[in-house]
Amino acid sequence: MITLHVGQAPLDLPVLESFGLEKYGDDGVGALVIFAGVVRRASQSPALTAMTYDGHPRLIARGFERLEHALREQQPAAWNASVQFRLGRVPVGAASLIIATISAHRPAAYEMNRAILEGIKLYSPIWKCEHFEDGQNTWLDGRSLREPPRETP
Amino acid sequence: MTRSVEVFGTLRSFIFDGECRLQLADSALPEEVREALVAFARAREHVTSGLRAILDRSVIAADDRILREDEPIGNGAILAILPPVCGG
Repeated sequence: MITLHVGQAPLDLPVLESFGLEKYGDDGVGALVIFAGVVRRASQSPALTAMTYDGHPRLIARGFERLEHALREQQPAAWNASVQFRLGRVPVGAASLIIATISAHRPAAYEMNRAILEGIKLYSPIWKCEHFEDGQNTWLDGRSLREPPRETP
Repeated sequence: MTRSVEVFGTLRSFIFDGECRLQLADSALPEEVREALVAFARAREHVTSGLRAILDRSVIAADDRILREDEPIGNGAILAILPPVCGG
C-alpha cells in the first residue's frame, strides 16, 4: 500500500534536527535518505516480543572510522551521514537503528546509506538476543571475527 | 595480575554479570584468556557446556583493538572477549 499526501503545507522532516543535519541545508544538499531498522514480528510461535542489542561502544566507534575512510574513497561526491544505534532491550515494532545520509544528488545519498548499513552488518561488534512471549531468550549466532569477512565495504 | 575482562553477547549467558576478573600475566596470549575464562566459569559452577566452542570462535580485544593470536595482552588495556557478531 502507498499512502499519498499531496498539498502545500511544509513537509515535516524532524529527523534533520535530531541528527544535526539541518546545518547542511544551505550547502547544496538536494537529497536526504533515511533508513530505519525495526524489530520485526515474525510469524512464528512462540511470538517474538523484543530484541536485546549488546555492543562494544569503543570498537563500534573504531569500526566506523575505518568504514568512513573506505567509503570516502568509494564515493568521491560530497556526502554526510548520521547513524543512531539503540542498545539494550528494544520491543517489536521499535527502531534499533537509523541511518540518515545527505548529498547533493540522490545516487550518492542512496548508495552511501546502503553501504553504511552493509558495513554495520558485516563489521560492527553487535550481538542480538531474541526474547519470546513464553519467556525464552536466545542469543543469535553470527560471524566469527577470527574469520575473514566475505566481502569488503 | 588480576585483570577485568568484559564479555558480550552469548557469553553473558555464562558470565552472568558480563564482567569477570581473571588472573593473567601481561605476557598472556588470547588463548590463555579463553582458558582463564573457562576456569573462572567452572570455579563459580556456572554452566560451561558449549562455552569452549564459543570461545574458539571468539577474539580478544584490548581497548579498541582486536589482538592477533600471537599478541600478548600487555599492561593496562581493558580486555574484552568478543563472540561471533550479528551486526546491527
